[in-house]
Amino acid sequence: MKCNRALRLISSVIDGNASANQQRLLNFHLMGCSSCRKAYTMSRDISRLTRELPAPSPPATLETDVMRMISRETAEVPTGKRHFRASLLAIPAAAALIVLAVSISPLASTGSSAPRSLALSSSMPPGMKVMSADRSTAKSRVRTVPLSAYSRQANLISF
Amino acid sequence: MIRHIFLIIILTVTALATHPSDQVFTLRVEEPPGSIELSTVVAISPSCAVTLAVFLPSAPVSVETPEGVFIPDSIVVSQDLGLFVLLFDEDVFPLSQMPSDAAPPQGEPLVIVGQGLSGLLTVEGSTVERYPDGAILVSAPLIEGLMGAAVFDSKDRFIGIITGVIEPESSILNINESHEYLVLYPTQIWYMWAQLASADISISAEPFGVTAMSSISLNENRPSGIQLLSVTDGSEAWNIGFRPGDLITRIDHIPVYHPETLRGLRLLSEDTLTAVVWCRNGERTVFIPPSSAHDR
Repeated sequence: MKCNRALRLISSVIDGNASANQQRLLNFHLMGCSSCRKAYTMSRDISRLTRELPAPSPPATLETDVMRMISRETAEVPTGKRHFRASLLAIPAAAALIVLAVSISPLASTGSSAPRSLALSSSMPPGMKVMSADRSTAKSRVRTVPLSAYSRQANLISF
Repeated sequence: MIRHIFLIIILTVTALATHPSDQVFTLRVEEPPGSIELSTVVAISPSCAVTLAVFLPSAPVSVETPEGVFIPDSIVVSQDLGLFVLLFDEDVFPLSQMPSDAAPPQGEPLVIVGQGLSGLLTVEGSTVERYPDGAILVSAPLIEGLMGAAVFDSKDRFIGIITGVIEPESSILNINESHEYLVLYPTQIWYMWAQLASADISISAEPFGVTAMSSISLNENRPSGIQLLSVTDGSEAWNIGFRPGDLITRIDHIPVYHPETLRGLRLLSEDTLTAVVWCRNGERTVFIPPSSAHDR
C-alpha cells in the first residue's frame, strides 16, 4: 500500500467507514511507515477532541448587524460611487457569512465543534503541524499513571 | 572474507549495544473515550511485554515503538501481582533482552526509565534496602511518570518495575530518617508468572494440588516466602512431600515470595527443582520434578 492510499484509509478508519480488511491493511502499513503512523495518531487524537468540544454558536444579531452596516455604508456613499462601493462591501460581508456557515454546519451536524483548523487537520499530510489546536484542552486529556502508595495484595492461588 | 569479518564485527557491536531505551516503550490506553493514559511498557521478549498500567480488557490499548504502533493480540492479567502481560503474534520488539533476576546490592546505581507526558523520561537512583516481601527500596527523585517505570542496574540489565512509593517504618528496616522511597518490584518475583503467561502451556492443565499465598514476615524470627495453606491428599504436591502450613523460602537457592513463582517454575523447568521449606525446628528440602507438560 502506498502512503496516499493509507492516508485516505486513515480518514475512513477514524470515521468508522473502513471494513475490517481495510483496517488490517492500514495497520500493516502503519507498522512499517512512521510518517503515516504519526498522521494516524494525530488524526485520531484530533478527531476525538473535536467530538468532545462544545459547539460554537454565532451571535444572534450577526446577520442583522452586517446588513445594518451595509445599509449605513450605502446611505453615506455619494451617487455614482454608491453602486461600486456597495458591491465592494458586500463581498467581504458575504464571504464572512459563507465562511461562518461552512465552518459551523459540518461540526454542528455531528454534535461537535472545534476551530476549523482542527476539523481540516484530520486529513493533513504527515509532518504537518497543527498550529491552532487548543493545547490546554489536549494536555488535560492525556495523563500518566499516578505514583501511588505501595501495597501488595496477597490473594490465595490454587493450582 | 575480510568483508564478512567486518560485517560480523559490526553485527556483534550492534548486538552488544542494546540500551535500556531499546526495550522500554509507551503504552497508550484510551479509556474512557477521549481520555488517554500513557504508561511504561517493557519488552521481555521479542513478542511479549509487561506493564503495571491498570485498564479494562475492553479498553483500546496500543504500544508505540520506533518500529510502529502495535496492538497486542492477547493480554494476560495477574490481579495478584498487579501486572499485565501483552502478547503479540509477531516479533515486535527485536532488541528486547531477557530480564535479569539479579538482586542489586545496597547502593547499586540504577537507571529508571518512566513515561512522562512528553515522552520517556530517565532518572538515576540507587538501591537502599530489601523490603521483607522481596521488593527493593530505591532512593530516587519522586516524580510523576515513574509508576510502572523500568529499572536497569549498572550493567544495563532490566531488573524490575517501580510499583509505588513507601515510607517504611524504622522498626522494619534499619533506616534512621523518615523518607519516602520508590519500590522496585524485581523480576525475580514476577518473571516466572510472565513467562508462564507467554508460554504455550495451559496453566490449569497440570494441577499441583496446593492453595498458597504470599507470606510476608516483618520480623526476623520468621522468613518471608510462599505459604501453603492446603495440600490436596494424593496430589502431586502431597506425594513429593509438601504439607499444609509449609513455608517455601527458596527454590534452587533463590528466595521466593509469590505462589506464581512456584507455579511458573514447576511448569517451565525441565529439571528437578529443589525447594527449601522453613519450619520452627529448622529447614527441610523437597524435590519438585518437572511438570509432565514437558513430556507431551
